Amino acid sequence: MSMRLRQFSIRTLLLFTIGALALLTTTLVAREVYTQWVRLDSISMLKEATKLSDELFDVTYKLSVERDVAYSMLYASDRKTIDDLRTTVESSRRDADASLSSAYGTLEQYRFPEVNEILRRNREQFTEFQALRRQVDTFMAASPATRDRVLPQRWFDQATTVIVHTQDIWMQFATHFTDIDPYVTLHMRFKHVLGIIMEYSGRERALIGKLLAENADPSPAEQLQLLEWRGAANLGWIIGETLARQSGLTPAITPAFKDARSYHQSVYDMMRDIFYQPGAHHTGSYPISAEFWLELATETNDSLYALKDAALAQSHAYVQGLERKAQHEIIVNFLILLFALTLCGYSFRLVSRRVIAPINAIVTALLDAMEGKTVSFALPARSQQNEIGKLAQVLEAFQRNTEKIRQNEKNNAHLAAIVESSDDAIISKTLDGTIVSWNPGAEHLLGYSSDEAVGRHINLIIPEERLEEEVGIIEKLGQNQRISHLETVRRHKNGRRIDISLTVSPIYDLAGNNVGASKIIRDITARKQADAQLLNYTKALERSNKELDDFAYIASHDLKEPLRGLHNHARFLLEDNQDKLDAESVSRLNRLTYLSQRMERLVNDLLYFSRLGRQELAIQTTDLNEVVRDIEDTLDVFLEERHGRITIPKPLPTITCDKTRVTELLRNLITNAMKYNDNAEKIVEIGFLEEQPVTGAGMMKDVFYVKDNGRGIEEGFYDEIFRIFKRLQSNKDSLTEGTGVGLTFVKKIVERHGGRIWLASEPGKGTIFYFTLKGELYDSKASA
Amino acid sequence: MAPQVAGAGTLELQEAEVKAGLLYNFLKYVEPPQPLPSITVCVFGNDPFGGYLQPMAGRSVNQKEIALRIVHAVNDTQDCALVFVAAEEKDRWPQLRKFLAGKPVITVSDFKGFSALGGMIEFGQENDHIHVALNMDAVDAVHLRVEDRLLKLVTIVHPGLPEGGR
Repeated sequence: MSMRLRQFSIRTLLLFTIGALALLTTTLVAREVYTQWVRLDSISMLKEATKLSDELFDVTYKLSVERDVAYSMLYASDRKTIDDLRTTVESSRRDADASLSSAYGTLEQYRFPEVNEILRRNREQFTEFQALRRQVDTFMAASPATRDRVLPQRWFDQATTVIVHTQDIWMQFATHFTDIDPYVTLHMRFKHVLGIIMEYSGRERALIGKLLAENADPSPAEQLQLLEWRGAANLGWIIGETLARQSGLTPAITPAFKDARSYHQSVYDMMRDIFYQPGAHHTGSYPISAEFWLELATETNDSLYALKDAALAQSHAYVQGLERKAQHEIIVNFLILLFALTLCGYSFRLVSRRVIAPINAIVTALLDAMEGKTVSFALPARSQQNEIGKLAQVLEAFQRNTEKIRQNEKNNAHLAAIVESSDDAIISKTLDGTIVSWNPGAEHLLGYSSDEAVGRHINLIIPEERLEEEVGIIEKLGQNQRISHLETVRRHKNGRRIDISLTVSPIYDLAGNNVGASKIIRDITARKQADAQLLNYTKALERSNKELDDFAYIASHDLKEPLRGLHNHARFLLEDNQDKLDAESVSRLNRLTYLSQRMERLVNDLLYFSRLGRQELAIQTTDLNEVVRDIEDTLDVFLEERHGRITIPKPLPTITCDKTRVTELLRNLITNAMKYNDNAEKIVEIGFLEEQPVTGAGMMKDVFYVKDNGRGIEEGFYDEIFRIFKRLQSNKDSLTEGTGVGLTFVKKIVERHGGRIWLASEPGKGTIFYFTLKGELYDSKASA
Repeated sequence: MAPQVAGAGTLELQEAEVKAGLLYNFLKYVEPPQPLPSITVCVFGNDPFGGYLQPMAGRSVNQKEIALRIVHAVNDTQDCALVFVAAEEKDRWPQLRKFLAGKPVITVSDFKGFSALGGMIEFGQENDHIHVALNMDAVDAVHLRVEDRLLKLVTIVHPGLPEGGR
């Protein structure tokens, strides 16, 4: 924050810069506008000045008319001439006064010091001129005899002075406008020259008028003056033409110029041979009267007026052009200013929104990202195409990468923790066998610390006699094969051999190149020892079992011989001494015979049972339907006697099993079912179920069953019935009374097949024996 | 033709000089009903101005250049703006007048009775000075307009129109 206070933000700097630019532009344009404004003011002044120059032209003209007419009148000898001219004098005097007072009034407003000085002087002279006018009036009233001979010339000179001074004012006044516009000043000068022509022509006119009025020949001095004035007027025409050309008045005023000059020349040419020729004289009267001449000559001024008006119109048009140009400049500058300011504002807004704001957003996001926050650099759609948008896209991509890297780091840390905490030795090595990593498990198992092991060759832990094995491992790795759970031996730092299980996997770099291998070494010493122990136990057990079997066999086999002797002896006694023996003794001997026989059966059963446990199963493909049919055949008498019947609801499968034993199994179950059955018709059903629930063991698959409708068994005896020599009920059928080993055999056969046997029964209704023959021996599925 | 200045002081020449100048004034202040394409000043007969008319050629009046022509045939006056009839051609004037009848051509002459014979402007004498008589009937007949400035200087006459004037 303090940084921001000390150091202006780009936004602020930009604002300042654009503000300064706006100010600069405004100042420049404002200056230009001001200049044009001032110019516009000057131009309006020019217009006024042009008007004033017109008035001054008027004054000059009116004064010269008054002067000339009055001058001629002063010399007139006859009353008629005087009276004819007086009207003209009076009207021109009124016109001159009006023009003069208007022009002088306007002039004073300009406050040009030297002009005002001339003006002041002119006013004084004009006062004298006024006095002279009164004298002229008095003179006119008087009779010709009493007239002042000096007055006409005084009048002429005084009037000329007033006219010349008026022209001076004009000259001085025009000077002030040269700076505003040289052309307008030239226009004024042009009009001034017209005034000069008019003035000198006026003098000629006056002098000629005087000579005509006097009907006198011109004196040489007068002729000289006439020529001088004519020269001045002609020079005026030449200068006027030049000025007109320079100031751009031509060609617009050319026709008017030519007309005026033609008129002037034509009128004054009338008098050339009469007055301008050296020694000019006349006889009798002049061919033209003074008033006729003055009228003709004065009217030529009309053409000068027309010319002056044409020039004035041009001047006006020109000044209006200047005015329009200045106004146009002001408007254009104002528009430029507006445009520049708008551009400044727009630039600021644009840079602010499209550059600074996105950069700020990016910077904020970057700062957040540095703090580990999840951020987005995505900019609004409109910004995505520009440079900053691309930058944001790059940052966004970086950000996503960073997220991935962070996740990877987390995963790596997790994996590293697993490796660190593993009891197994986890080692990685390069392709040439240099150890690269060595976890604490390796330290513990192999005795080398990480510092000792890393950088060494893997042969460090391989016993000399197993070095060949490592070559094989490297070959397999070279073929990108993995070695799984290879049980081998490695060497501890202290030289001790350690039984291990080795898993080796190739390691690939990002480009998929095989760059090394990881080894997981598990200590299997304990398992090896346990295995050895187990082997010992198994051998001991096998020995013990064999001894037991041998004992049972030997015992039963050896017992049979004495039993047979006992039996035989009892029979011999009976047969030999039947007559001598009493009934009880006979009965006892019969009992002895029976018991010895029974004893023999028990011994035989025992022998068989011991064989069951000892002999290998003879596994073969067995069709169980055929087995049942065989049993039926062998038991046909037995079944017939007992009204027994075997049913198979659906065909039984063919399985792989020991056929003989399974036949025995089924026969035992069938005969049991028949024996312990009081029904008139004894039915045994043999079947196969895909699956059958067992109490406490979930579902059993591929279950066989043997179901009868016999007496049933109390639940409490379910385990009892499978114990050897255990009979639950004494059978009335004493001849066929068994030894009670049937179900024991059944259970044994089932167990030898890896199966299980259980039953469900309800006393008085019947019993179902379920069994399976699966386990390792069961290869082929039912193919019913 | 160079001005004949030998007798500069003679009244005739002085008159010729003045009359030549006055012709310009007539051109300036007599306006034709329709603007003329060009201004031609014609002298019918021998030039009595003794060269005083010559400077007028090339000058302009009412923004048109002036040309001079000496004509002897009546038909040649067809496109003249002004015809000065020499006094010696007085006899042919009726013929010329008939030819010009209806045409807005200013006719000027200095023989006595010109205006009475249908001429428009007649130079005469009064109190030893040049006097100008203007036949307003003739002028009006062809719709020429005479400005007041000229009217102030001249004496207006109304001789009526001669036979066949229109």
